[in-house]
Amino acid sequence: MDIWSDDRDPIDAAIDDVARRMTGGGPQAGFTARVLARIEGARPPWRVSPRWSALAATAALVVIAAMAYHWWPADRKFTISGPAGDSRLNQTAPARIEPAPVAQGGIVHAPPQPATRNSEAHGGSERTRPITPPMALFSEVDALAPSGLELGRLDVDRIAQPDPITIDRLETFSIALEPIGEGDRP
Amino acid sequence: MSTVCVDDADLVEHARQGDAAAFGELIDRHRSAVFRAAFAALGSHADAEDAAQDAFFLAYRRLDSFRGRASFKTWLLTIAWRQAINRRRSLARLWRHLTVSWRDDRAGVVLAEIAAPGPTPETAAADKQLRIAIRRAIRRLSPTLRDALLLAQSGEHTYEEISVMLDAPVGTVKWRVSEARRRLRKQLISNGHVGIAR
Repeated sequence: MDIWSDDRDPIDAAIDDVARRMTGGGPQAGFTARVLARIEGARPPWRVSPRWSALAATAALVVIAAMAYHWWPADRKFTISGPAGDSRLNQTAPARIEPAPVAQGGIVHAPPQPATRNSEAHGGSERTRPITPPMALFSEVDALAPSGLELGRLDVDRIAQPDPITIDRLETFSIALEPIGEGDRP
Repeated sequence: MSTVCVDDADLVEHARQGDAAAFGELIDRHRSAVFRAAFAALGSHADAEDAAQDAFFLAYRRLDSFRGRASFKTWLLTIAWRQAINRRRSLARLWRHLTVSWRDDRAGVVLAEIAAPGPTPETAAADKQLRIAIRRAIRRLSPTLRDALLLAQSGEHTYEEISVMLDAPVGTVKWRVSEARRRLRKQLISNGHVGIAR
């Protein structure tokens, strides 16, 4: 291309032409094939599409859940209520301690009543759980506690008396305080 | 799959699902633009081809991160430009670039001799000298100005694409191109080349 035939300033035309030549050309033949071969060579054989990965992950979760359900010990089943459940677990589940009445200004305020007490009014009679008094709960728990340890007589008198500790007079040194100079201030 | 009338977004979707032919079509469509961007940054044909190859390889691995906010070409050029700049920053590449600069100059002389059909021997000689001087002056520009000028003159990239690649507003890119021209002209005048040209 003759740069002098351009209508623009010849210097500008020459600059543009040289700059174009400095970025001209293209990759050698077979560039696409080389890139694809590199991609194919770097692709791990186990790589699958994201859809298959998601499907495989879901299947694995289902299998794990089924195995966990199958191998979960039956005696560790936790039930909150129910007549056929383990009696001990049924007793420990409703461990709700009622707050004591609060006296303010001579007036005793009853604690707020939980909504479950009125659940029958909302038609939820089957979901209602009988609330057992805390004392009855503790007594039943106490009945399940192991019997007390039987110990022989403890001879407390035979324990030696400790030697008295004498503390000498503490020596203190006087501490001189001086004002901080201007240069010492942070 | 016939890829004649398929746009880039469809090809990207097919490539994501493992269609190598679709990605091959994307390479064919944009390899020239990617190569020229890398060539503008590196100034070496071999380095530019390596950087372009790295850019396509990286783009394939990151296809899932392409959201389609910009065009695929712009996204690809951004990757290519970063690859090229990283390569340029490498000391080893810089050393090789310095050692082959003389050969590049000779190649520039040969190209100028082939491409300069001056009407008279005097004009042809002046043209050749001017091209060599411009080439050297472009190399001496700051990378910021040189990158903008070469990308703008490559004929493969719009100002919007250059703006994304250089992470600068379009107005700034245009100013850099103009400033690069102004400095080149000033240097050529100070070296007496304008007198030769006229």
